[in-house]
Amino acid sequence: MRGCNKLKKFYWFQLCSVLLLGGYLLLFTQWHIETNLLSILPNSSQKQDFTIAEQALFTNKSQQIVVLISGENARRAHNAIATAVSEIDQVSILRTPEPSLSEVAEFYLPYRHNVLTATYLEHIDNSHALMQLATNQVIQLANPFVSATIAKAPRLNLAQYLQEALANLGDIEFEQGMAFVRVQDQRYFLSRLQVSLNGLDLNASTTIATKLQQLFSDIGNTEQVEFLYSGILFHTAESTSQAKAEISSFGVLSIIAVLLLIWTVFRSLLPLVAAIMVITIACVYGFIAMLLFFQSLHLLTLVFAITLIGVVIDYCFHAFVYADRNQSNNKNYKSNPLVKPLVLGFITTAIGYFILVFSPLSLLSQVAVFMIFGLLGALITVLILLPQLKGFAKITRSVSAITFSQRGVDFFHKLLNHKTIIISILGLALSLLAIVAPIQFNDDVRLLNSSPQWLIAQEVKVATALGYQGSQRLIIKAETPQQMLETQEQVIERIHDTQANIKIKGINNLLPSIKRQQQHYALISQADESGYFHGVLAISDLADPITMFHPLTYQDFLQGPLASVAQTYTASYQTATTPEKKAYALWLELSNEPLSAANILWLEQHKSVALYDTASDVSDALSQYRQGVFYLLISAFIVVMVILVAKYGLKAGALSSIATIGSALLALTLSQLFSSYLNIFNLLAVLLIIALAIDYVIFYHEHGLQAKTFLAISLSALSSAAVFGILVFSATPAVSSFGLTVMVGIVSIFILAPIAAKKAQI
Amino acid sequence: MKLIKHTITVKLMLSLLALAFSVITLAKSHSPAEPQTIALNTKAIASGNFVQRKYFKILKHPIKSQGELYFDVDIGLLWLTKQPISSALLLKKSGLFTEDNSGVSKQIKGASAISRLLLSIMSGDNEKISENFIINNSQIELCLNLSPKLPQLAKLINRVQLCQATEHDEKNPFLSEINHIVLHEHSGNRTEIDLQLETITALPEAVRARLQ
Repeated sequence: MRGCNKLKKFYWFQLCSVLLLGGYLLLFTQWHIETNLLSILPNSSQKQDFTIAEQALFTNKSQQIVVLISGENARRAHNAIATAVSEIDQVSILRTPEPSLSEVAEFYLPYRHNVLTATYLEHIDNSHALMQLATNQVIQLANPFVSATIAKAPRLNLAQYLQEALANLGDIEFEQGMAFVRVQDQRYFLSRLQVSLNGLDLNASTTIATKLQQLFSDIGNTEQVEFLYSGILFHTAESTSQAKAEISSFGVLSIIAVLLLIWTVFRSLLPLVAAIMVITIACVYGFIAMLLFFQSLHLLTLVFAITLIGVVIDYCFHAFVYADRNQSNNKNYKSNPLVKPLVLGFITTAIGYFILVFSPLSLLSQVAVFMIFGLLGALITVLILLPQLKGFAKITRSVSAITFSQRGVDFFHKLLNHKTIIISILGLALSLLAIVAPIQFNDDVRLLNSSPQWLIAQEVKVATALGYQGSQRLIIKAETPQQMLETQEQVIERIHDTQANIKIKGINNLLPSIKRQQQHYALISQADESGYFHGVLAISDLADPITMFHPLTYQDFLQGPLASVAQTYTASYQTATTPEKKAYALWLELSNEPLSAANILWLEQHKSVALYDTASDVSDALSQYRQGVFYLLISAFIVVMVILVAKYGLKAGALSSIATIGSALLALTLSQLFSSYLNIFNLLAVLLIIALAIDYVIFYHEHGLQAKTFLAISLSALSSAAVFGILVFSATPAVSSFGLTVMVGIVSIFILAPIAAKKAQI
Repeated sequence: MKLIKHTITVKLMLSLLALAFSVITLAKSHSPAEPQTIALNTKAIASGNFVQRKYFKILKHPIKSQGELYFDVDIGLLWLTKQPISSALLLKKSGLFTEDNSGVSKQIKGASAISRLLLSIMSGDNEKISENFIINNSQIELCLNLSPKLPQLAKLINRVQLCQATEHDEKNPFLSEINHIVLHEHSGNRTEIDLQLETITALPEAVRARLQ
């Protein structure tokens, strides 16, 4: 009795401590909730040290929204957006700068002897060809580049350089100061919006997305124009509302299902209250543990965390089924028949989840921490607090539950006489399924995208109109701007030498490296000395003496009229290793043709260059991680089986293995039948199946195939199947795959677990 | 005799009245402040020759080029320079392209506005011209001044002068046949184009193929 009081005191002490800790973490630490799936997946960069460069280049852009407007009144709609957006907090219009040709020409004039286009370069030692090139420019109808530069740069190399460099910037044209793109005969006016949110504030994201969508819809109706928009904000808002809806609907449905089950079996209010209390405490423990270990919680973690209810309720069922033993025995903790199987069950389940704590997928680490600590909270509450509740010992099973469990036990007793046949059928069924629906994994992360189809379709249309659909991005980083520009030139040269059709967009055509400028300066000087420019200069009869070399630097460029281009394609940042020193990065957009395998290999060997392909990087990482999870599963399974064999003997251990592996394989092969491919989440579900299966097997070993055990396991299986079954309806493929496999696995283990049971007195 | 006198007097008066009316009309039509409409003869498909002179403020002499041109408003424009070098400018539906004498084609992005303007003028697309330009009479007889409304064009060109070298068509008080175009740039540079156009029923197959 004294021991019991000590435990009670310990329980309240630890509960208060956990709650205090939770309060502190909640109020005084910085934490936030994420919704972006990519943020919880393995690091998207193929090279870890590119992460900071990526952030410097793209973080700001990730909060931008691109809006395309088409229709007769598109210009009016464009203006209406600019006016209306100013009234939405945290959203501003980003002007698409329209470079003034005279300013640009004026800016480049001092560097006119440092720049050559490929055509000029090709003919630099051919006076006739140079004259043809120049004449061709001069006779062009109102060529503004010639007009703007001929007086001071009569070689016309600058006119051609600017014409090509500016044309390469993109297909954006301007009308009355408004940017537009032309797709076939349709004009799309372009609006860019910048959202300024601290981190990813989900509620603010949803509010802003709703306001903007409403605004687009209103203006679209008034002006009879069509809107296309694209931006991470809309995906965040969609997944937030989706996850919120699922958490609330699935959570409520799970609780209702579980409570109905409790009411049907125990016909008393106390088990209902006790179950809610245990589930609440478990959730609180899990949540506080997540706050303790993670600063950023993913919303999807909370969706997965609903599964805690399914496992925690198992503990409650065992406690309720065995509650009446307290009427005959004293409340001595040691005499509690639940302690051993529940603790053993918790340890095996926790081992399973513990493996996931070190997962590179932060989502799984979070789910694992939530489950381990949630189950721990539930375990100690079930073992220490529940028996102390007034009237707990009087909880009895309803007559129908007793009849059901008795019939179930009889049925399985009969089945147990045919263990060999059952095992043979299982083997045969698995073999057949392996032939009919061989297990195939597809690790493409895009298949896990839960964004609605209409949003993805809009994204594609916007990308197509702006010419970046199917493009690839390269990131180049360096310690100095000149290193960065020189590397860029090497990379472009290599790509164009091997894949001439690839179109490259970036700062490359506007800002050559000083080294390249020196080369061009030397060539122009040499051609001038050789008299190759005589014919060209004779067209205008103007002189252009070549003066001292004066390079155009990165810093000069940032001060010039094309600074906005530099800000789009380049960034400077502080590195983690030498924060006092700045590093530089730029990105290039490659389109028209994908990089060849040889070029990708060449780039991978280049330390300063990385292919920025988030989806492909994450898919590769997922593939590797899936293989890792597979080996971990086998290791975990071997460890647990060794424990079971050591504890219950070779035959029982072997039967347990068959039941566990059989249910896991059945779950995977049947999931394969229902869906066209399996993903990592199906495999992760197997981990949970093994954890639950071991719980069932341990209970059958400890208590035998008897009515109480059968009833507790039936209730566990039913509740878990209901909770996980609900997840099948999730719109998030990851959650849905997980739910399907776990549900099938639970049904399988419910049928197979009794073969591992020892025969017992009822 | 009296009757003859009266008749002469009436005729004279009428003539004076007509003259006065003409002077008023002419004065009105020559008022630079008064916006005008335009009624060019429509040519959907045509071919012809051009002589272009580019006057750069900085240069003493204009740069002269000449050649042939073909257009079909539904297909595009081929501006074929023969002298001093061979080159071609092709305005297709997909954009503006240049072709050098070796046949290498290159797209000129965002520069199709002037070619489209020329095509509108040559083809007599009065609606488009009126939509995109403020039309005023020029100080020069038989000429009109067009000021671009669109900033896209206004950035490149200050004004366009359209002139008719031949006499007025009495039935049409406005210009009908344009054969001299001057593009005035903001820099003071200008491009003068003399045209000789004739309507044809269809583009030659080779031209059509190049514009497709």
